[in-house]
Amino acid sequence: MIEITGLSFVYNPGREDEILALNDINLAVKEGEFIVVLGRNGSGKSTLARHFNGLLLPTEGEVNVDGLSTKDPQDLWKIRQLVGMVFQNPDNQIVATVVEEDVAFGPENLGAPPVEIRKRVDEALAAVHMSEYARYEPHLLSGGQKQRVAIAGILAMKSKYLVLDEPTSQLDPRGRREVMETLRNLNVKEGATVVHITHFVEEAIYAERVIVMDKGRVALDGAPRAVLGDVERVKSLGITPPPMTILAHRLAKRGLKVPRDILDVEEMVRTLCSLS
Amino acid sequence: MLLELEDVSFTYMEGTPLAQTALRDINVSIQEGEFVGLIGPTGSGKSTLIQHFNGLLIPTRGKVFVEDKEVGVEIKPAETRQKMGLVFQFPENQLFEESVFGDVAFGPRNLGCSEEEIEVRVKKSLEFVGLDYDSFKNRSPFSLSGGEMRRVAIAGVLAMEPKMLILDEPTSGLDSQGREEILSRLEHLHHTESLTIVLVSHDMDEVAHLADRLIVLNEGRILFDDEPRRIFSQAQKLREIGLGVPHVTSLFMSLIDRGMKVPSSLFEVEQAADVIVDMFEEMVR
Amino acid sequence: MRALRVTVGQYFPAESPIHRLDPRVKICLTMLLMVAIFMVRSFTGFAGLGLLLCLVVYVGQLPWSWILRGLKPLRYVLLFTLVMHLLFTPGLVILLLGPLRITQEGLQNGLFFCARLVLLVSGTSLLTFTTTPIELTDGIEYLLSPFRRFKVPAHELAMMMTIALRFIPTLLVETEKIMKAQMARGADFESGNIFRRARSLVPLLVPLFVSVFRRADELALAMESRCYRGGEGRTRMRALRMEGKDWLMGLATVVLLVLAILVGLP
Repeated sequence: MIEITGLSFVYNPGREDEILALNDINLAVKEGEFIVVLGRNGSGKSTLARHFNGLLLPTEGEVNVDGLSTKDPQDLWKIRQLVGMVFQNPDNQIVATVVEEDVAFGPENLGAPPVEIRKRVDEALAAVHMSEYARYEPHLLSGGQKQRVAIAGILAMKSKYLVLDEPTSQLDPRGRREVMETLRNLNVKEGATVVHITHFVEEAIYAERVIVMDKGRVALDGAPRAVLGDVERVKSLGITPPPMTILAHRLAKRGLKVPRDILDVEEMVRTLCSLS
Repeated sequence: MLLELEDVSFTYMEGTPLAQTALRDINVSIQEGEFVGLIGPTGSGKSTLIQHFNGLLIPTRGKVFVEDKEVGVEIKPAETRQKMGLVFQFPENQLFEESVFGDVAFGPRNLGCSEEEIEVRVKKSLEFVGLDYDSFKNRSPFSLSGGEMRRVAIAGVLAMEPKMLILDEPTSGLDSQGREEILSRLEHLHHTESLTIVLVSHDMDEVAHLADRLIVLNEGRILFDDEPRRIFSQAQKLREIGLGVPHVTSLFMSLIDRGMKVPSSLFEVEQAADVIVDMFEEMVR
Repeated sequence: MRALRVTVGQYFPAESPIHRLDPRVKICLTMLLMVAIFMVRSFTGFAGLGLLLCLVVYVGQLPWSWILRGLKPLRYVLLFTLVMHLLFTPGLVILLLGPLRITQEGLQNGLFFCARLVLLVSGTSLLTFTTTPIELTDGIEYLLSPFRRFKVPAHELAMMMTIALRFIPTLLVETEKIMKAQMARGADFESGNIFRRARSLVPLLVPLFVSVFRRADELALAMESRCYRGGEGRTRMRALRMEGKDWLMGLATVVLLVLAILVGLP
């Protein structure tokens, strides 16, 4: 479990351009959860993400990963092994010139024996369906494939928690689908805990839990239906609700017996068919 | 005709073993005042095509005409670039000056405009993209937010006073607020200035809403060139090449499959609500 | 968008005995070859070394066109070397062209230095053609590691090389993109005198530097997140191991090189 208590974070403390980026955040991420974090730019999503593995340390409060505090320098490397992180730009996180060498980078840093690394690399590439690209040069891959390599790099470290900071924002629709399918797969089949930060609201529909950040605070936290169904509130937080949810609202307002928290097309079709 | 492509084909590194054909027999023309959406899966040739629109690439075979003059023969590529303003993907990566003013002025300065003219153009372009001239002109472009940087970059191309504005995925990487800001500015430019716009996008809902004509590119060829509603009725074909249809279209296709009487050519949420309400009212009667 | 294609420093994938050779052997032999090229003082010696290189190309299943393309950027340097020697070497005049006197010694010297350059460049590119960048950096790291006690940062140097190699294609594409974006705003990178041209590079170089710094920053975060903390305690997936064939090949080439040097010494 990752436990965040009373977390506040200030950029440039004591200076003129001091910014309170996170303001008293309390949050618990349980093992096996699939959480999607939404929020407009500047709401503190990325700052929060960087606290999960100690890239940033709290100004106030505490972040605990499986009982280890990010503030304790001795636990830092253990925490970074437990909490794997994928970043926004697929190009800027691949270190090696060959895909499998890159996946090996993490376990190599952990000092695993060569035979063990080989095994982990093969398994990780298989888990993200990239085995056939093992000997490729990364710059020949598509954006979605690069992000899957980055995810494999974390799996090879045997990370329990996957924190992804807008991994889909620079991808085309196909790449986005690839990454989302990979994450869902890992969550269901391998029991990986996923914290996925995004500004694509449709990626939140199938999550277990959605968190909306605003001005450094957790503004909403709950099941997708409860959070996204609150169209007015979601809009006020700078997020465009899913189109079918907007449609459901319009229809409900005009007197049709349609629930206001419909999230996708399939559900809308079912509802309308049952009405007629 | 503002822009016309005649049997255009383009091959990268022709004559080498690495040759790769990116465009095949493209015939397309764009009139003044149109708002065209250009869509296609990654690798379909979209960026190659738009670079032919502004003379950055010259076709291996075929001809490009800008205002009825052949590019490379009757009109220089450099002049073509001024007439057809091209905004690349992630255009904020091209910013380099110390001030927003300096950066937007880069284009007109290259055209040899006078200082007064430059100031007028910078002012106008910044206003077009919704940035206040006085509060932004002296700021460093690198101190701005992502959405603001992108708008400054678009202003930099607008300041060339092009006849056509071509944008490659202008909203990618932005949050929904940033997206909406850019799109509403484009809509505004199209309506008030009747500027011709070509918008390259992956997001069907985005283009469906804005463009009055869609060009669908696949494997270097034009697959469709028509009004959005007519193209979306070919949902099956679009899905085959890895493109979706807008949510509303998808909804209505499913409803039609289940025997409901709704039109197949809708894509806007407001219209969809009207149609569904009408349908149920009729059923009650 | 496709980046410029240069064959120098590129890897040519093939399954040949040369490709499979331990990178450390290949690096050492390349260094030895350089020494040989500088020691040899006769055309017979060059012919011997040339034959040796041809043998490597043949066994390494490399296409001749690649070797030639690798030499292409060198053509002006070669021409310059030849012309300088032709014009400025005193000796037996064999040709008079107006005020210019071409001497036999000039011709000889010119051809001699050109041959040396060609051998040097093609010799080193044989190493990169047959060795993947990662093997190359691994090899360098291993070879340098004994010098660690003299504070030579072997691991850091190798890591820097890997990252440089990894980002070269990315940055080439990026340069092309920025260049095109500025050209779309009327920038002109081609005409004007040298000062104008140098100034016209500002709109290209500033964004490129900004991007490089941003990338470096993000890469550092990504590496830290993956528990990177220098070479200490780090293991490798593929440890290099010298086998019989590596020793044998190394020995055979050394013998050939010594022979070439002996033949080539005046």
